[in-house]
Amino acid sequence: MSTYEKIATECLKKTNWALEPAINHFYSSGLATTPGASSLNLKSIEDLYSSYKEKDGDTIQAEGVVRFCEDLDLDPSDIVMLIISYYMGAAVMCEFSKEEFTGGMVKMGCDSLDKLKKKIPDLRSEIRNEERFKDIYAFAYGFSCEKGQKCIQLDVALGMWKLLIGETKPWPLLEDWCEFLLKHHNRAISKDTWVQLYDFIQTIKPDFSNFDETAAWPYLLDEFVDHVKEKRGG
Amino acid sequence: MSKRVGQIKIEPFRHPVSMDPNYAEKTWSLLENAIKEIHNQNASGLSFEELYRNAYNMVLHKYGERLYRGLQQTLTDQLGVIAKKVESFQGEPFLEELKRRWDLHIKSSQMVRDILMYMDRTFVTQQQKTPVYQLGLELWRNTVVRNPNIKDRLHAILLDFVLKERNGEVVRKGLFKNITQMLVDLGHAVYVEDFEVQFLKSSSDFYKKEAQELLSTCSCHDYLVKAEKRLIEEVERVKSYLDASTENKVTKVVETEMILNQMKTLVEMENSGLVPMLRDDKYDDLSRMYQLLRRVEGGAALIRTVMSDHIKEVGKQLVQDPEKTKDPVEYVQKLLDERDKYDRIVTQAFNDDKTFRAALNQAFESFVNLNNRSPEYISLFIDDQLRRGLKGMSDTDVEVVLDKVMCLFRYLQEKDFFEKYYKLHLSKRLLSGKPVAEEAERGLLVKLKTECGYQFTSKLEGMFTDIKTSRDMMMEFRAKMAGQVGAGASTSSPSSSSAAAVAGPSHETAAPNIDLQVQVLTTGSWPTQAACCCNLPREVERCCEDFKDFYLGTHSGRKLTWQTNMGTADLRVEFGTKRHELNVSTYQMCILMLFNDVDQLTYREIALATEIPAADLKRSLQSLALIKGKNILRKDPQSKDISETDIFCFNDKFTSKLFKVKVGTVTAQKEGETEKQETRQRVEGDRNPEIDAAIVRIMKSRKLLDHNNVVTEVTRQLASRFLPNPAVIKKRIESLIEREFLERDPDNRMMFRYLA
Repeated sequence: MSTYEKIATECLKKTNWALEPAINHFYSSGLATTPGASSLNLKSIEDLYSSYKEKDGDTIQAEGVVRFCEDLDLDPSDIVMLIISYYMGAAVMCEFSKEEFTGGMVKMGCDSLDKLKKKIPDLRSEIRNEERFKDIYAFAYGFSCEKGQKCIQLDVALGMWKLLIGETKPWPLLEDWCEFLLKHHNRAISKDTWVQLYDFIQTIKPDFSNFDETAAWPYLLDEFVDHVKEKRGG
Repeated sequence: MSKRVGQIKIEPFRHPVSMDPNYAEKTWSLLENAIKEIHNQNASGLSFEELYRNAYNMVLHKYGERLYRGLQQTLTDQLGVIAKKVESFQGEPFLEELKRRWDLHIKSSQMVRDILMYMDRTFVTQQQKTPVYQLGLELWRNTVVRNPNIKDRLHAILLDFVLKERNGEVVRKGLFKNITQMLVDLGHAVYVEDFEVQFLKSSSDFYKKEAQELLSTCSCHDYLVKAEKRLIEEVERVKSYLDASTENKVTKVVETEMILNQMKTLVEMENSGLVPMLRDDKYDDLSRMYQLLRRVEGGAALIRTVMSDHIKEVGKQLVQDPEKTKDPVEYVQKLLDERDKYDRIVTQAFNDDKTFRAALNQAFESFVNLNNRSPEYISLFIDDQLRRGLKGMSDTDVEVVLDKVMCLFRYLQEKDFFEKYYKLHLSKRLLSGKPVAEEAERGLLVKLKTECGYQFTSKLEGMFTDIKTSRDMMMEFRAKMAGQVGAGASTSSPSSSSAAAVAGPSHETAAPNIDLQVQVLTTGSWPTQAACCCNLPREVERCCEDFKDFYLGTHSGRKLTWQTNMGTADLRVEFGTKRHELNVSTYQMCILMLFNDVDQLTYREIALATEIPAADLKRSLQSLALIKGKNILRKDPQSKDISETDIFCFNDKFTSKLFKVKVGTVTAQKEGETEKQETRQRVEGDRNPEIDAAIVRIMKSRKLLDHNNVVTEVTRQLASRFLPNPAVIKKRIESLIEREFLERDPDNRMMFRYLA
């Protein structure tokens, strides 16, 4: 069987030989877009998944995730884990559904742990890509929410920021920002603020010389600017 | 013989009758001589007919050119002679001579013109030369007036004339007038060029100097008086001996030098400038200043600005002075007085100028809002007026006062605060059991409605309606209970969504003789109060139950809650042998009724029996036991505060000069600090939903709008309630984004889209 036939058969099998869903699955699982997807061994991906999933349930839970990380020689708080989760489109932290896991592996073009291990440096460097970073950043918000919540708690947000921004996009005001939030805000962070912070870091200079207070920045950012200016004795 | 009749033709004379050139010269010298004689006032010996004929002949025979040239030459010579004669004079005689010569010249010119009329009509017109009379004027102008020896002297003398008169000397106006008339007759341009220009310049210099001198010596008032006088003077001067066209120009000069260039200094003069005039209500001075400064550009605006700044200064001190802001009624009265003062000034001194009135209003608006207790105080002022101050005032007086207060109300930016306080105070007024000045109250409501719209006053009107409904209902109730209820003390108290009624029994009989008066209040309209209950005396309880049954009989499905913290009671009390009627609050009644059964009670026992909330209980006991001269209860120990271990006993040695004694009323008072903070928080909290609603309304209609425009629109829509803080609007927008009413445009942070 040619590889294309193999893929098609896989998809159809998955969806019980219903044509439309199979086509959808083909596109959504990354098989369509990943180069070399046709050469992937889908069976081995599924086996991999099964080795980590919960005994009675069809998801990988925290325990499985930890093992997964160990096998990859990765610390669970390593940023690569976030990137992997991004590829998997994981809805919540520390939980992967079958779709998410298999789809992610396909998108990354890996069908075994070794391949994935080799891919890790590539993944790490991906974050340097501006576009990719923006997507991952935006993804990180929903990912960090607790199940069923719409906002993320402050401490979670701070951790995520330190991870994402501290490590890859050095922003001199990160410390100030975290300190300010702990002292003055102490509540959940809205999605609007999260997303706008990225823009803020990109465009506003550390001395705030190009900060326009009528430019509709979220009020938290306005207050942050005032706070820092005050601290500087301005 | 008639063979060929000869044709006789008569032919015109063919040979031209031409004038012999010699003859022309002779004619000319005749004329020349005549002209000379005319100019020497020797015309009487001449024959008009002869001269005319001669001139006519010359022109006819084509010697017009010669005639004209000759005329020019002769006149020039003659005038030269005259000029020399005039030159020789000095001073005033100089002018007189000039005038004399001018008059003569006119006459001469006329005569010459008459003689040479034929030439004027034919030769001059054909050749387009200047007519004879005009020629005479021009030559006069060139030869005499503009003669180098005459010209400058003429100017100097004329200007000196004017200077003398300005300094108060008497001068010969007639003579001057003649000269200016001469110049005007020579042509308006001559007048302007040869006289007016210098005149205006020297006037300008003169007034510049005068302004400087006056500024250093006079007060503002004196200066303005002088300026006014000068203006009138100059107009007079023009009328007397200058050409009318100069009037505007010279007035402008005076205005510029004395007013425009000095007005700032004048207005800002320390002890006599605009500000002292305003302070001391110097209507005449202010009016004069206004009229004068109005003439120049920026004058009125200057007065307006200085007045506005001054009002703002005064106002700011008034509203921020802790002394003056202690008593609300005094505070508002002072504001009203200030406003009256400046209103009068604008009307009387500034000619009711609209721009000035606008400036006044704007100045007031700016400082009234500096003190954030203004809404509360204004409401208290109205409360005070309506409760007692209106006695003795006629209806129109009342209208006037309330209108003035409405003016102040308009200045408020935080009208929603006012609404809250007004509601509170109104409810206390309506429920106090005292007669309400219904006309005035209603009148004020109408004014508020006109100002702020129906929404503002609907609840207030609801309160009035409730009172009226309650009154009607009480009549029905009483009719029903007639026979069951005897005469006794009457009490009234309100309750939310219900009525509260308390009745006081007579101290003597055991059977309840209770006159109950209930006011049923609709919950939404009245200011919210925490529901508080206490144990009513059993007699009273029974009455209340009766009423409750009656009410719910006609209005099933409603819930009644007694508001025991708002009622009053009249008790007939026996103190030994004396009897008094006490007017007390419901709580106090409950406390006192306990002493029907025993003579002495501890604090704890009272608390237990009545279940009155602690703070209220302490307050009630304080007014019963600790007020000098009104201690109906004796407290042991005799300390100032109420403590939980105190013992109270009935004081049958209580005395009072009056039969009816009032103990502790529930009137409106200025809020204490904590209450003020609470109210502020509550009102500001209420604003958030209003801002949300405004944002949603705006976005719904516009669909896509940028941040700044949203803020502007919201501010505009809410202007009649309060002034929203842009930062708060921003927060509300973000809250709406989170609640998914709006979204930010992904490409443009400043734009928001409405999500249906």
